[in-house]
Amino acid sequence: MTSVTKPDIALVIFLFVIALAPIGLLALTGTHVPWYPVSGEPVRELLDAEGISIVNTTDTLWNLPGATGGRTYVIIDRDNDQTVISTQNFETAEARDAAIRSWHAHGAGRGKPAGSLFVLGQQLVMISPSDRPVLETLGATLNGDR
Amino acid sequence: MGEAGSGTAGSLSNKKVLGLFALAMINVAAVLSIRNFPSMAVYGWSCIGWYVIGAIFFLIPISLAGAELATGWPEGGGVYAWVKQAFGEKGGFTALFCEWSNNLVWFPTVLSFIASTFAFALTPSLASSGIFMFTVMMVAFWGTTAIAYFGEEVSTKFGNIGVIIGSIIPSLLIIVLGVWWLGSGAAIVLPPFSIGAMVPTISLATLPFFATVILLFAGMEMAGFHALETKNPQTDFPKAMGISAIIIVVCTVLATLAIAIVIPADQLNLASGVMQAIQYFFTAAHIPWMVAPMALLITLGGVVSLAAWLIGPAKGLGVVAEEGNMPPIFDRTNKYGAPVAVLVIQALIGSAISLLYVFLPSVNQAYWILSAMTVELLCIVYVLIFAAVIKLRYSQPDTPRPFRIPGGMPGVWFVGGLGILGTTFAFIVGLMPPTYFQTSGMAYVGSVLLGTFLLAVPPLVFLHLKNPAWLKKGGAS
Repeated sequence: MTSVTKPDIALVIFLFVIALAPIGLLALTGTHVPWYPVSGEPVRELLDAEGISIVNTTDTLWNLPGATGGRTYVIIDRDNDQTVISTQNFETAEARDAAIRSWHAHGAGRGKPAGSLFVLGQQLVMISPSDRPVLETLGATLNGDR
Repeated sequence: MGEAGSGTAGSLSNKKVLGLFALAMINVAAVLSIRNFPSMAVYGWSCIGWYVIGAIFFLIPISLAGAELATGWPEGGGVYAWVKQAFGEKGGFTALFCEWSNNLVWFPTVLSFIASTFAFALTPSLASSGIFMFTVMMVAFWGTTAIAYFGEEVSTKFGNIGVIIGSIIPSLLIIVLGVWWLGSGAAIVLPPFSIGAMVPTISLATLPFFATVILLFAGMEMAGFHALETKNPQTDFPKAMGISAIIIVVCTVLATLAIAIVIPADQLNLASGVMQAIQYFFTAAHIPWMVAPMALLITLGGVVSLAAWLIGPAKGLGVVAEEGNMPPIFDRTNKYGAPVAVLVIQALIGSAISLLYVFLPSVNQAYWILSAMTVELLCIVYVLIFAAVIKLRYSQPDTPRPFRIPGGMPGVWFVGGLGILGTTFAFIVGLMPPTYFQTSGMAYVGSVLLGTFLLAVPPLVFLHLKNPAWLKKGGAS
């Protein structure tokens, strides 16, 4: 069998370092999302504060373990495009985190998961479709709250 | 592990065990994914239009290009061998490494899908347990690696049976239930069908979805990695491409539509997954007891898909190492001809990434960047494949190709051009950041490109440091 030299080992380590770069990225930027109780309807308050009118509001319960219910808001933006904003509260941080994992795992093919997901303590906020203008307004605030 | 091999290039595979059916099933395993159906069903009738776009700009071109390349150069390494013929070792190695490294980032998502689907078969709330999730993910990952360890014969049998039971049968079951639903006179939740309803909305908001649709059919080249184990590559590859493409399209389009006509769009909310959709579907069809068995089947389908992506590129890297382009430590094969060193390194890196994925769930920008990187890396692979099929018509016009893309030079330019156009466009829109990111667009694009570069550049380093001692005695040049 061919002997393994020091440069060979260095190259193996190099490969590991390169391949583990994504982990480094996650480790550097991925802090655990804080869990805290959410009262009222922060998304509605945010929409009201931004002067965005809601055309329809319904109660919603996602079919996920630990989900306890939330609201679905339908808004129409200036371009007359419809955006659906759905919120959901979770009993525990573990149940919420499982929902986040599920969302990541359900991207079609190799693409990004559909919609945009935000975390507000015990609540998940799903905005669909992604990249609507309203996301610039809401997303920055929701990201800031996270 | 098994004994270290010391054979020549090609010793990874000295048994011709793959026939037409097995080749076709390798592609079906890699591409057909029930995981995609609910996400696409949300688009209603327009999912047909999206699938047509994916077929025109990717599925048909990659099937034709793959068939020509696989029959012209039925060599070990698949993508590596094809691109190497056109652009040399740097091009071939880079294409293969991009295919391999993008998997490292993608593995945790498919492993998480496998674990959460398995949890659904037992008790859905188990998905909330990080310990359960990680344990199942590791059993699936290392179990699949173990299957690969026992070589082509074992992994082929597993793949053949698994893809039928875990992917094709569940898809057909969904289609049959959809037909039954239509026949029963039950309400159809989609608006009335029209040609216009099939046309997808193309706008700035939906552009990023284009990249997703293009890569929905990624993996059609997977059978090419198994050329050395194929009994009659020059006759079987084109047929396998055709058969697998038909199975994939029929199952994907019809099963997606079956879900779309039964389940209201608001029940297909994007936070829920495949099993939630299946549960609604089966409950509506009055067979809720089928949910758990279906979850087990879909879990198996996920494992088979994982196996296809885990084994193919790893075999390719094994061939690269055999040819002396990587240090000998990568060139360890066992008595079954499996590239054990590459498999173990891959499993170790994938396990580490999975660990963070499970225990650090987040929706921050890092995940978007990682997701974008997988798209960019795959686009590099496919652009190189399409460019190779065109280049080889000029550089090696006399090499026998039992299958040729029809239409002569205009035909190959048209097919390759469509593929390059689709994947290049997917690469560009894959760089578009979500509008709400706090970091600047340039910082996002820079991060994605830097990450993509890091995961694409190791072949150039390896080739720069290439040492004659890396080539085993009697090895290929």
